[in-house]
Amino acid sequence: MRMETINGDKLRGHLEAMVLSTLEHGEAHGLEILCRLEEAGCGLLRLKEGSLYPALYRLENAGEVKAVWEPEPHGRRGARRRIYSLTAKGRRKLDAGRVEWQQFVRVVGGILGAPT
Amino acid sequence: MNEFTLTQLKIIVERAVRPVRASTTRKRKMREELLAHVCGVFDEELARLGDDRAALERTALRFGNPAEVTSQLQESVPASDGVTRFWEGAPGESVLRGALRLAWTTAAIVLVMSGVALLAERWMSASTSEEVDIFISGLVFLSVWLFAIAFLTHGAGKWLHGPEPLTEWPRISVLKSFTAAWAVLPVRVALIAGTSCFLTLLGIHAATWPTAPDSWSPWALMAAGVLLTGDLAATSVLCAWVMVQSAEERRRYHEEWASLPIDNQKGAPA
Repeated sequence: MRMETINGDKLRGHLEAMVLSTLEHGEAHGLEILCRLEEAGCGLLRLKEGSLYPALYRLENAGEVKAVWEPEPHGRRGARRRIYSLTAKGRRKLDAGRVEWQQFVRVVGGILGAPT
Repeated sequence: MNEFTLTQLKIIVERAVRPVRASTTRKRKMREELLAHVCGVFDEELARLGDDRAALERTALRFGNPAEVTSQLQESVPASDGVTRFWEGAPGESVLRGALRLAWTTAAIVLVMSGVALLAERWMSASTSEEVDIFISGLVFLSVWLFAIAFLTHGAGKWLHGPEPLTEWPRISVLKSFTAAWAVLPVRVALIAGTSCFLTLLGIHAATWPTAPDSWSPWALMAAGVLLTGDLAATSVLCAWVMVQSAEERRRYHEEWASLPIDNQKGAPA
């Protein structure tokens, strides 16, 4: 059976938890976070890349990730990337997000009759 | 990457960032990070497709609908950013207007603080009237001094204003402004003269210790007044230079990004 891609609308509400989850494997810049998401999603995730940064800024404002500018721009005409890492608050949010997701899958799966 | 490609990548970023209502500092952060991102994506796509135009189209497509990104970026701006927006003023604001805005704000704060001090004196008798007078005089002097700096800044701004283009990503910092200030001869002279005045003033104070300034001889008082004025003048020159330097850098940065033609939606993803 051909699997449908998962796009921005279906990801809404889960993007922040997924970003936190990718940072669990170590600090990363935006493009690296996208690569990790795509790898983990087996190529079925279709995220509009511009949407990643507002999510990162929201997480940063909430103190769930922290960001530092990379020291050198590495040939991008002076524009530097920011390196994001998970904070203790972000780790707690991720744990809570996982519990919430498992409950959601159990409830909706029970209604739809899908295997849980 | 050639200049045309870099401009096209900047346009992709600017379509999303320009309509966001946020401080210049925040938008600068967004622009730099998003530009670094699209440059990385473009390099990836160019390596895969081997054609500049196709790589640009793919980069814009992967970035997403600019209007959607704008609204998401807007949601990520915290309410506290309003304070920074006020402090920075509108993008492209003139140096004089910005300096006067800061001076007016200080004057308003001074007015409120003076009122509070007068009330405290009247109702609580916490301080003597002389102490309150000295406090209020200090505050009034501060706001008058800021207005003087505002006009000095305006003069320095007119002198600095020129078509000099940005050669690299602008990094605006207090340290950079001070370093730039030190590189300018009149500012360096003012700083050396001001420091000398201040040290001489300290010397007079040490020589007359423990006599309080109000018991100094008229000659010592006059010398102290001249030295204090010299010191304040030098500090004003430095403050004006630092303010105008960062304001000019902000203006040039704003002009560079504001000149990008973002209205032409050809090639932008739906």
